[in-house]
Amino acid sequence: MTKQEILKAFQDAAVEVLGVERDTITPSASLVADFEADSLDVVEVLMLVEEHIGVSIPDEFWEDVENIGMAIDKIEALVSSTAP
Amino acid sequence: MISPHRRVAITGLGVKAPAGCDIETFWETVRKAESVAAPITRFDVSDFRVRFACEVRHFDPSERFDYRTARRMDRVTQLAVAAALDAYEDAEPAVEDPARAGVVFGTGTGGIGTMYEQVKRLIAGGPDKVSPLLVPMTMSNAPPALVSMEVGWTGASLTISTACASSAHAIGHGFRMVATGESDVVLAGGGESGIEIYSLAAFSRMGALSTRNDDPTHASRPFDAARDGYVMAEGAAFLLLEDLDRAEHRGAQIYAEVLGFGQNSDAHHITSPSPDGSGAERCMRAALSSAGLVPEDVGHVNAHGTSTELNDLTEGLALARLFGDRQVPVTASKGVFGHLMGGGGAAEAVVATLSVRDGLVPATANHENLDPHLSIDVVTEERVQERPIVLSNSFGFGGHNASLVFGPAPAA
Repeated sequence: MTKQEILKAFQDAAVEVLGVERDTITPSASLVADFEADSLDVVEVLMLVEEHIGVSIPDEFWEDVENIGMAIDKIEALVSSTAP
Repeated sequence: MISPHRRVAITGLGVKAPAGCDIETFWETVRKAESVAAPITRFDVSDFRVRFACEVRHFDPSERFDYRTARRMDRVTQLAVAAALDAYEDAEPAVEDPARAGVVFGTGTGGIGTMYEQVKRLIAGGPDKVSPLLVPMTMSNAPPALVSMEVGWTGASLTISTACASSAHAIGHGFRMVATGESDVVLAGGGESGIEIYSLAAFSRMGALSTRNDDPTHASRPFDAARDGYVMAEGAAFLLLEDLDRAEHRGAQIYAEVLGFGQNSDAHHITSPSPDGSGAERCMRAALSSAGLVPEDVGHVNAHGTSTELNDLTEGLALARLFGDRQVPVTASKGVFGHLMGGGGAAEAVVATLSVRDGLVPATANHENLDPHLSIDVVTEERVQERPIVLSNSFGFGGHNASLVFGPAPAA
């Protein structure tokens, strides 16, 4: 799975949950700081990202994530470490 | 009986209902006395034994809410908050102290459509597939919470749940909040989004609904001999209740005055009313007593009149006993717009309010032949209101009864 595919999953999820423009969801963007997402929004976005990329991610995984780029890096590492 | 210190004016109205999504359209539809029931369009009903209802057809949440706000609301909340904001804007209440302004909402269940969708996700995918919005979208207090947030009022905000009497109780409670001085203004009303797969299946299985699928517009027949059940409806309605002195001082429009409220319980059965209508009768007497009135003062009754066998029989018996030899005109709005369940009392309170304002008694749709067990005067052609007082009834599963009394605004 490429970083671009994971970014697309975030864009799809953020468009659906937050109603934002797709191209505003960039690696440097923060759902909370830039889009005023509350904790419920964030959980919804992450649920949809999991569905889109077909990977189950534990809640603790997100604790030190500050922006979408960091999330993409962590997901890419997780997927490659668990790939068959 | 309560001893109100202050009189309570109705200075704003809002509806998102099958008969209309603005007050004048709603009122015109009610006065036409023609049913708005039609085949259900919101989901596939081919497997259902009941396939028609009174849907809210001309409600677009995006006219009132941005995408994100609307998405986080169940349909009942969208309908309710929009109706409440209409009533608020209608009244322009100019609240100086938000702590003296409250919201009281009545509903039977809350966000039942969301509940159904999320239970499907839970069963299909397990606990981690349930939305974090499940609780805030389904809790029955979401609508008043969001109304309070929208208008910034910090007084009491609550939901009352007494099945089909819910919103009449909400208006009664709001009336008391203003009358006793706790609040200066209260948005009081209710709503229900009952045209959902879950609710339609459930009420069908009870045998509560009319099955006149081949003739929906003649299905809701209050007090008629050929009635066979109620017609499911959805929607919401709100009244802005205000201290009468305050309303007069600021030169507000006053539609009507809330004069009294009665409430009690049948203590009889979880769905059936007391067989002789004694609970309903006591409730109406309590409402009139709280208003300092007697049955002879009543100009007409806006009955609960669901078109079910048991409600219309027992309510009709209660009305006959309450008024004795005097035939008091009885109208039942559910003939036009069906049964909004938790929202019914509020929708009918709007009808009663406008009846008082315009001095008329709207006709009952589809009433052709009175149930032979009854002796009451059901209005089938619009009449001039001869005495200005209107009594409005709402009764809910569980034996919860509520009656409201409305009268004209003081002469200017």
